[in-house]
Amino acid sequence: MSSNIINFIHKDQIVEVKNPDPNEILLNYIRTTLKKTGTKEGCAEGGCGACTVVLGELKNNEINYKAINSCITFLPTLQGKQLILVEDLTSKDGSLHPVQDAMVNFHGSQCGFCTPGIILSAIEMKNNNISGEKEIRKFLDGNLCRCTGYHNIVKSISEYLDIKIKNV
Amino acid sequence: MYNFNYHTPDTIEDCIKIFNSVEFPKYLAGGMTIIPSLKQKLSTPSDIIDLQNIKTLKGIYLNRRGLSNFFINLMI
Repeated sequence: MSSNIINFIHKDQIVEVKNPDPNEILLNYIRTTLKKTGTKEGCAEGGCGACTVVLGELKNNEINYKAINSCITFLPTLQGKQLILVEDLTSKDGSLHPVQDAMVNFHGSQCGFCTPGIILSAIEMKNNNISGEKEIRKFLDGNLCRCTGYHNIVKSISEYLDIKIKNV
Repeated sequence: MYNFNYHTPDTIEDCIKIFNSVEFPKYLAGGMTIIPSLKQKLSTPSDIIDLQNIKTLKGIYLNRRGLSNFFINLMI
């Protein structure tokens, strides 16, 4: 079956794309058509995690959230899914999402290029029963950060997930 | 990137049917190799077949019967 329309959910609304270009990369669509430039292009080959977005997919009547690299995903992959970008996390009155608050309080961001990706990975961690510092570090292996040395990021995320780690 | 057609079959049978019916097909699993090579125009397939909707290709599991009893599938 071939179709020329894709539908996905963004910000609680159904977005319809007619005649999507199968060659278009999701990251390009987010930055140029949706004009949401919080999602960054780093290596453009799925290594650095700066382009991470979260996709929600309905499985057995539950929404399954997964953080993916949008730079190696084609736009038609969005069909029937929910797209969550870093811009969607702040509430309408401008207050920050708990993970963003934690990143501010524990200095988890320096130059900020990797931060949107790390925040969205943390959102996925919340749905994956992460229980310790080691698991947080393991989960972050898809997000490169050249500034912080990861320690403050791990502190921030453990605060967000309510996990106690040593040497805080 | 050169233009190509994009397919998302639901079963392995459909997948093979598409693979045999087009000029230069390529399978897409995670995309960490194929997409950078498409971007650099090192690979120019006419059709990309995305395997993410094929449920039987997913998962890691133990099968207690038979000789080979540990399976890691293509699409995890």
